[in-house]
Amino acid sequence: MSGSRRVDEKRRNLLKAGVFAAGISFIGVSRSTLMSMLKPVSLSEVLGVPPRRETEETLARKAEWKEERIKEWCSRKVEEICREYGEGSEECAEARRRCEAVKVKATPARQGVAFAMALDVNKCIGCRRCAYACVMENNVARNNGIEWIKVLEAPREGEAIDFLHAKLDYTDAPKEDMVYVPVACMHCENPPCVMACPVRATWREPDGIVVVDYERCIGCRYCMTACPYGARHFNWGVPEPSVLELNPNMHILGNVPRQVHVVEKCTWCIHRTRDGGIPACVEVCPVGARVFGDLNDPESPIRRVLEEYGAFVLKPEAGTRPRFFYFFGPARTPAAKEGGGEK
Amino acid sequence: MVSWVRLTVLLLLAAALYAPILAASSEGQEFYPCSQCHAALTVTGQSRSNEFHGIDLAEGAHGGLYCSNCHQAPQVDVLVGGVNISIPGLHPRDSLMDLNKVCSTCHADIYRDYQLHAHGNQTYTCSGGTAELVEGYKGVGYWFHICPEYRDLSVEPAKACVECHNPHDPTMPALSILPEPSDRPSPPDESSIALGGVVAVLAGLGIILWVAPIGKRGGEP
Repeated sequence: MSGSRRVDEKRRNLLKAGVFAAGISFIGVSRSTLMSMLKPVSLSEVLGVPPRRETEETLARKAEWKEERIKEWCSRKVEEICREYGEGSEECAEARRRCEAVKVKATPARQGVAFAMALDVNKCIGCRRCAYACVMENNVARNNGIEWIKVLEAPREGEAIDFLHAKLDYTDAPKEDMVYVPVACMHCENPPCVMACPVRATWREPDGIVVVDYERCIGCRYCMTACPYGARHFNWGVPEPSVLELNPNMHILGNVPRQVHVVEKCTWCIHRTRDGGIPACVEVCPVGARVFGDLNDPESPIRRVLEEYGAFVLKPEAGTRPRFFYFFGPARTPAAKEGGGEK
Repeated sequence: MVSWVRLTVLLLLAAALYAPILAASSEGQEFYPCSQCHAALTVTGQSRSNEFHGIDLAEGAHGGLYCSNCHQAPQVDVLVGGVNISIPGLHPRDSLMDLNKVCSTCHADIYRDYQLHAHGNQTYTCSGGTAELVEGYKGVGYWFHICPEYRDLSVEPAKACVECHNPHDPTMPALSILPEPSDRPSPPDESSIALGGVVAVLAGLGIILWVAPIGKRGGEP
């Protein structure tokens, strides 16, 4: 009896010593070592299987199928519009024009391309044009209140940004003591959303764009919880994009009209960038604060700004390695004068 | 009689002088050089301001320059690099792009950034396509591109230097901001979930009350 108690006591002491040693080593180990130890591991790495990606053929087939469905839906909407406004109306003609132009592409990633975006915090005036042009470009339904880009207004303290007191609903900008930080999908190199998805409906493409397969998404919203940037949005209601404002340039993994109960997010305008264009937010920015390009191309604008001005990322401690960079450029856009800026 | 002749001559002269201007303004696409009206308008090497045009180079980011740094004195409408300027109104994009040569004389680094699409904003073009500026969501001015296939797009600078920067006061003014973002979509009505919870609790209580007496009965000898 006493022998077994002694054994129990020994085991308990051993466990205590183990816990104590673990605690000491946890405190003592350097942060960088800990970060490297805690490097996220994806299921595909553990199992040795390649990450899930649709093949080009499958995607092309899906795109063809989707285009047919969209055209069917679109022609129904055109009939409604023409009935409401009249056959000879501008609205009817516009809806018909957009509907006929619908093209769902499945352009694959180009070999050796690594897309990235950078934003000059000194230039950004917080005007929100990027956020609303993004809605137009990506056929985001207006009835669900979804906007992929959110612009934060945060107090500036020297070289630091006080994100604790950031807000979204400012009505006057730009202000002298504030900086404006648009936030959307960061297209991380270690995307936690991809690891969280139980049905592998989201993945990172070879060119760095993190995409969602809307047909496969089950709407569990695990990815939204996993994303440290709040970049994913859920369609609570049936999305009803307006045909009169429909963007006919579509990509099967990008801005095709979504169905209810799926998650959506920024794709760096995959329907434009894969074919040599630039994202809509870059095009609309009135101060040219956004820069987009291929990290592997030494002549690309993104390389130019990163080499010239350096960069920082949001929440580096999350270990996600974002491909969206922020930098402080050479000149600051002045604050708006009393009574608002120019139109 | 003499006065009538004088008046007619004056009217004819006025018509001859203003005819090109009237034609230009009615067509809206023709431009005429400054010297058409200001034959005697010249700049000297010491000029720094022009009251009529509201130009004062003592102020602003170009403060300290002289007119002759950009205008080839004594002519006003010829700029350094041989670029001609015309008035009035909306100039075609090509002629505005021509003016970039003047800016690049001093701002070579920024011009290099501009050429690399790292300064200013860009747009894309496609063969056989067009772009229309439309008023979009929440009042955003949005370029709606219409392309036959939306493939093989090419990126180019969207604006010339002078479209954003007033050459006489080049600091870009702040623009008006657009409305606040939409509220996050609200989750569905949770009353059904609450009702389900109440039903589950009542059912659980019912089971306990029903099972407990059986357990008691079973425990009796």
